[in-house]
Amino acid sequence: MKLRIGIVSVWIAMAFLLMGRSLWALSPNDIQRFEKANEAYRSGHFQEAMEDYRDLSKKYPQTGIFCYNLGNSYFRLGQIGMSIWAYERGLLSDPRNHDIRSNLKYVRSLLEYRIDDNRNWYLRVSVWFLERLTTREVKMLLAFCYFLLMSSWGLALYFWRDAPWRWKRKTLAVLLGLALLLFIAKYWETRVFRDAIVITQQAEIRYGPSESDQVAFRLGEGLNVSVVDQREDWSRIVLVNGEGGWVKNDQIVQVMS
Amino acid sequence: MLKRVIITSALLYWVLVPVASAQEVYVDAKLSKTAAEINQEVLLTITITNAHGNVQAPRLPSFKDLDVYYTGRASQVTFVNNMSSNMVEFTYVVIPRSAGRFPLDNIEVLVGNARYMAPQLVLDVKAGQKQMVKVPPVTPTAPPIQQPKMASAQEATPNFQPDDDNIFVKAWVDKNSVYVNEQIVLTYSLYTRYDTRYEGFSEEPEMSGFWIEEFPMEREVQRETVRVNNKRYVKADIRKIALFPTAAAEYTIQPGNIKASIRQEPQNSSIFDEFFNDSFFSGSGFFSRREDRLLKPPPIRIEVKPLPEEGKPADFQGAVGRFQMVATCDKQQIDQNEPITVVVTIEGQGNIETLKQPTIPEAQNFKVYEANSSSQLFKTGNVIGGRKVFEIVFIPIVPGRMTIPKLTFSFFDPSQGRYFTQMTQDFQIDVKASDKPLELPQMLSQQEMFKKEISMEGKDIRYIEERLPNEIMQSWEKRIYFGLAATDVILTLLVLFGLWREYVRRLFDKDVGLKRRKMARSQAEAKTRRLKPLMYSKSLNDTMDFFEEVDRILTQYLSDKFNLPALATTRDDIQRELENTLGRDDPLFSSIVEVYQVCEEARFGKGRLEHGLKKDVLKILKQTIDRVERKHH
Repeated sequence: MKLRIGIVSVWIAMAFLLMGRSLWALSPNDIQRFEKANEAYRSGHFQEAMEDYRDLSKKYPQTGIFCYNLGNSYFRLGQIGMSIWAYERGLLSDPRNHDIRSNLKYVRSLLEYRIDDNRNWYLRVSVWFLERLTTREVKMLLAFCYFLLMSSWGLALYFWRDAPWRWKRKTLAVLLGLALLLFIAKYWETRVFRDAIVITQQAEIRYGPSESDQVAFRLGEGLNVSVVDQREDWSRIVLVNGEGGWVKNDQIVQVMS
Repeated sequence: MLKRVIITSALLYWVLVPVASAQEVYVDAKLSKTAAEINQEVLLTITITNAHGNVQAPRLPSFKDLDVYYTGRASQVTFVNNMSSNMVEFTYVVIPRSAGRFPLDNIEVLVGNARYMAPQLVLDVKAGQKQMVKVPPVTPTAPPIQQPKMASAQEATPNFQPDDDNIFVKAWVDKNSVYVNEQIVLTYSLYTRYDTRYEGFSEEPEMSGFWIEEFPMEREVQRETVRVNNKRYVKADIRKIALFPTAAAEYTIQPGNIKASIRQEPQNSSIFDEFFNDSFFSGSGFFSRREDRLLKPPPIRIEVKPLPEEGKPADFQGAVGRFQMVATCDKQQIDQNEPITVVVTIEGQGNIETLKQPTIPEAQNFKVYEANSSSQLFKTGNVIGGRKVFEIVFIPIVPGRMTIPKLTFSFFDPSQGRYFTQMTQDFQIDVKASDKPLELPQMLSQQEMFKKEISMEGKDIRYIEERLPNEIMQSWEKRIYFGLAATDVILTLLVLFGLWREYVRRLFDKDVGLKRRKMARSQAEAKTRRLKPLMYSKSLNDTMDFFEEVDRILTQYLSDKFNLPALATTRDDIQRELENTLGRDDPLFSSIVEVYQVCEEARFGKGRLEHGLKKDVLKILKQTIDRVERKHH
């Protein structure tokens, strides 16, 4: 019985592993399109390159280089806001890519406005750390910790029935708890405070979600905001300096959109 | 003995101290002449004798039509016949502005906390030739080393109109037109007619575009009496800075703000005894009313000319001043691949810190490394100078008689307006052949100086990525992720199942009857499945075994279900339980009884029974189990 359970488990796991190839592989058409976009960029046809990179990045959101190249194309076209959006999007799937970070830093240095970061130091450190991990990596870490704990528990249940709840399994449980916390924090960072970029030259931030509400302040193109709520045409945003307000949806674009 | 010494000391103390302290303070005043003409200088001397404690400069009241300037203080201590006496003398210059008879009275002297009055003096002034009085400086500053000529004309009169012409600061430079890297001396001179205390810079000067070296100021600042716009001032140089312009341009130096504290009482005399002394702690300084003044000298314009291109040596690296170069070599005979150090010393006047190493020509058969450099700066008077030492390491890579090439150093002398080039001598060395591998001296290999620094020349975004990411890596990442997720699901199910099993096991361990009831059906069904081979067998033994096994299964099942002891259960016990469960009228009850009878017959008849009975018996067995299970639910 025990042996049978083990064999079935291994088979199911293997089936998932072998299934992986069909999940990513680029079709020959897409490879050709990527090369065409590269050629267009090389020859200075940035609009054409941008369109191809944009389609590829939509189709393969987990491949950061499409977004990176898209960001470069937007930059060459003078669309700073969209360029920052593309780099930010690329960082979601490839957060430790030096090229993306370098270009993002450079493009941000060209912005007219800046926002002072008034968040607490521990919040800044946490965000800095979370931004360097993909959601999938966090999930993998959580799954791995869960796997370790469940394996250990399963072995104890089936093979060492009288094994006590010793420090090894306790440590694994703590690790799982930490991984779970990390997962929740990442979820919070990406889903609750949804990053967005101002894409119009000047966005008016109002005290309420209507044109009749008073303008609180204005933001320049390329600035990062966090969307915390949404209505039909309006989004409620907060800034790292603690200010907030409502902005029209067509003046920003969410990084994860 | 000790007792005698103490007594003698006490006696001496009691005798001598009253004698010494009995000496009275005596204040005297006298004029160098009692009669003078208008604008003629008369010296007023106030002498305080036997003053013990802090003696303040006498406070002179304002005298109508008399200008009074404080010019200095002198003190003297004398010992005669074990008696000490001291004398402090304050001197003033008095310049009458109109004719008449002027009483000089109410001159107050403060010794410690006691006040004394100087005797009254009278000065008769006659109308005479009005002439300008030339007052020599009281303490002229002697230049300690050979000084360049200062542009005294520039400092003679201030070229701006201060708010209060009784006190102002003049910032002035010795040259207004210089070459790049030529020394300029910026001096801050304080002119005052008040009792003044200099308190430093409240705003530092703005001197971008200049390399700056500060001259150390003497603790006791030199001061002198000067005449500006027909008024006498005490002048003191409070700060001196050497400036070396770094590029040719028109510069405007903002000299900053200077803070000074003045005594407010209006008086013609200027009491400078406290100047630069910490008079804050002296009696009058602490209690007298003072006023802070911010003094802002006007900006200074300086024209910096580029160095002439004509005659500029190829190896010129920007040195401006007057320099001399000397070189020494530590060895004359060395092994191949062994280092030899040439020490080059450049000394002179100019911006030593910015001197660059002499140019090293292409040295065939040598490897050349720049080692250490050190500099020593001298700031004397108005001159910045010093020496800079460079160590250059030569490593011969072939044996034989070698010559270390000449090193050249060029500089521009602004006083002569032309370039000079200096050259080291030839150093001849004998290099012996050696197998020793070339190795940098440790001091060099540890230094980073041989590495060129990377400097960014422009900024732009990085280029697009033209290669697709590693497909295998990406797909494996996904496989691992999904594999791990699937394994986790399976493991969860297994753990849940294991936990349920564990729960049931514990429950059964507590209640054996429950275990038997719960397990009865599954055990009976398992055993029934094992009857199949016997069922289809036609041998008598197998038929007998079949019915015996059916009997056993049925008995075991019913005893488990009714929680009867497994071994000591009789057929009557079972029938009784079945009667209770099914009822005597139930057809199944009679069928079970019949099954038992058939089984018994088979046992006694050695299996001689109809083959078709097996199916019926098995059917009844299954029905029995189903019915009993239903009843028990």
